[in-house]
Amino acid sequence: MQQFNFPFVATNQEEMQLRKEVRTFLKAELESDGYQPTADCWMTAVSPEFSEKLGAQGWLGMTWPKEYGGHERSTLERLIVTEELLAAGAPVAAHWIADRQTGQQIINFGTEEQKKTLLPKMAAGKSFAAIGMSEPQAGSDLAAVRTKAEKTDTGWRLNGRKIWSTGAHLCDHMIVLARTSPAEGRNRQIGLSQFLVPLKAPGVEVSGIDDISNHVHFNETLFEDVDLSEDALLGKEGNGWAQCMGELALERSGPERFLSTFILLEQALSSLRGKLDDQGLITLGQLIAKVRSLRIMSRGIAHQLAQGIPSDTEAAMVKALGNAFEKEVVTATRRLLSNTPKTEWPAGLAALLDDAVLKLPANTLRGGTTEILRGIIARQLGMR
Amino acid sequence: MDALIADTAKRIYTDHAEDKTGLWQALEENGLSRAWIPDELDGTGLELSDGFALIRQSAGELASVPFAETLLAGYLLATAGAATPDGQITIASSTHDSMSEAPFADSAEHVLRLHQNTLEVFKIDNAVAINNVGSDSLASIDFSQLSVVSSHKAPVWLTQDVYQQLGAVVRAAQLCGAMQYQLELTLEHTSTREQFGRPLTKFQAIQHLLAEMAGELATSSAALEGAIQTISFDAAPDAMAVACAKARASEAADIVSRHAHQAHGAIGYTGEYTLGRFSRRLWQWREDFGNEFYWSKLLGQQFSRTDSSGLTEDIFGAING
Repeated sequence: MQQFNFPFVATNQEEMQLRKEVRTFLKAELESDGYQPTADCWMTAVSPEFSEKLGAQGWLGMTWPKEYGGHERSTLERLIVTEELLAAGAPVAAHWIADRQTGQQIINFGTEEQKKTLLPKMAAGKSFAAIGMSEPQAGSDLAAVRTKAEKTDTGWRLNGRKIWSTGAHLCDHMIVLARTSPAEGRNRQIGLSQFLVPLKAPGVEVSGIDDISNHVHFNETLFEDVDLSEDALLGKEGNGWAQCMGELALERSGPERFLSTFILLEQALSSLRGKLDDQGLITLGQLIAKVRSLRIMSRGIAHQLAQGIPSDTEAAMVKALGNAFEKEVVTATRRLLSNTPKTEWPAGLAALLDDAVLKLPANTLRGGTTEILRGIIARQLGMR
Repeated sequence: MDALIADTAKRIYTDHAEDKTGLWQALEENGLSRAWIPDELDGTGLELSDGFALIRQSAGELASVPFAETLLAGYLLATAGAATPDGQITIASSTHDSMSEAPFADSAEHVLRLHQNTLEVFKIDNAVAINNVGSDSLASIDFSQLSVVSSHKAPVWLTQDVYQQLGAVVRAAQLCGAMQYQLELTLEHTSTREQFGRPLTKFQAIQHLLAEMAGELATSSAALEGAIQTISFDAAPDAMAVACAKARASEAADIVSRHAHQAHGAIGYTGEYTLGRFSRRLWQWREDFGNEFYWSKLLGQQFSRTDSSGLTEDIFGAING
């Protein structure tokens, strides 16, 4: 049977020093600026100013080469910073995608010119990026994308539409998965390519979509005869599917897949300490056992990625388990609070809970549904 | 684990699949039953992690022998600098009363218990088999009727709580081994069993059951590794890491065995087919040394204590100053 590998990574002193730096920074920010800690902060809590401050601290583009504005720190160090930011519910949504996946895609597949001009701005928290994968008729079935890029004398012409692109209205660039040649019979993964598209280009129209709580964080983007230069092609023509799977591995492997609701548990617990009955203690303990286990797995993935070992299926597994855990946190918090009158809840907790409930349906959908992830695990088991 | 050790053990289990006496003899001759006893105490002196890997492996074998118990007994006696008698040794599962239960007590030669800071080895001659949910034998022992073969002052850190923690980690390793067996067997069954003209593996509903089983096994294994890392011969393990490991593995055992039976259909429920024997082990081991609710409650107490500086510190680590 195919094994899933999650090597154990012990904690060391330097790690705790870095944690201390991030916590000290966050505490000062909270006290001076008073950002509102939120659930799902990496998806919806947008603050370009905060992103810029993180960039100044050297906490964006941490693993990227120094010559492109990065800091050449380890994958594990980046994991520590992201864990702390998520645990604090800090407003990190603006830069999250550029820092997590777009920058690395540019490092892997971009031209020298793109690396030199775009990466330093992304690492400084001054330029953001969006994901251009889903389309109205291509969600889980991503290979069904219809957005098309055709060769022109000067480069490419892009037509089509992308949907559910978080933060696209704030972004300078989007990596777009588009068809550049027809599928070969049933193999639709052939003939796809990735493009690095400037969202300010003529013919691009970004429009917001209200989510369930009537907030705009995701968008539909229309591309109408958008003329792109030659170097907008990211990587190799026809290699888009493989590149996109690599991008998804980056997208799925982080701790945001199980820490989105951690802040809710932290804040609820502050009013529940010493008051939980046996059932409440068990409920809390089950969550603790899960989050600790998920962290061990997540550190294992970071370690493997640093060694250049592909960990796509491990990431799919942590995301599937982690997303379920995030939902469990909200249900458990409701259960634990059910004996305490709302009037006795700490300030802001009710709003935080409501907000988490409203955001919750998305977590098992975005970045690959639980069903898609289970399919990936089943493939690794040799079932398909 | 060292591949050579794993291969040796695998060969022994295969060669003696039908013969418990021969199996145990081979495990002893190859030094595997004395894995955790240091060289100077006439043991094999393997790493603790290698021993846990052997325990996990043994739990995925059909053979019903007190391998895990014998290893743990060797470890416990070694912490007191004491020699371990040859042969099978079992471990008392409760240490407070003179009556106790112990797996394999109707066949093992010795039983070890921790009693008032003393490790006591008894020769067994009055074990009474008990019907139980598990498929391995379980027997009750009346310590007041047994004579002590040897007794050794336990190190200060080896309290009753620590004794229970060590038992819990050993059981968590066994749970992982048995869950892995069930996952592999279920994979094999669903690959070959056809209904509606195709193998069961081609049904998404079945794929998702197995994916969930694999996830539960992986997260239990991660938690187990976290606990194993904290065990040594000269200090107590991290109680929270242990609690996490046993809570996860016991909870996962429920899900894995449930899905395994669901994917197997009626054949899995028969006495002849091996799946059920491993389910029964899972249902026994998940209870031993505290089930998922027991350990979760302990975690809940620790992580809701009033003097904590917050969940972030407790989960991600406290920083000084």
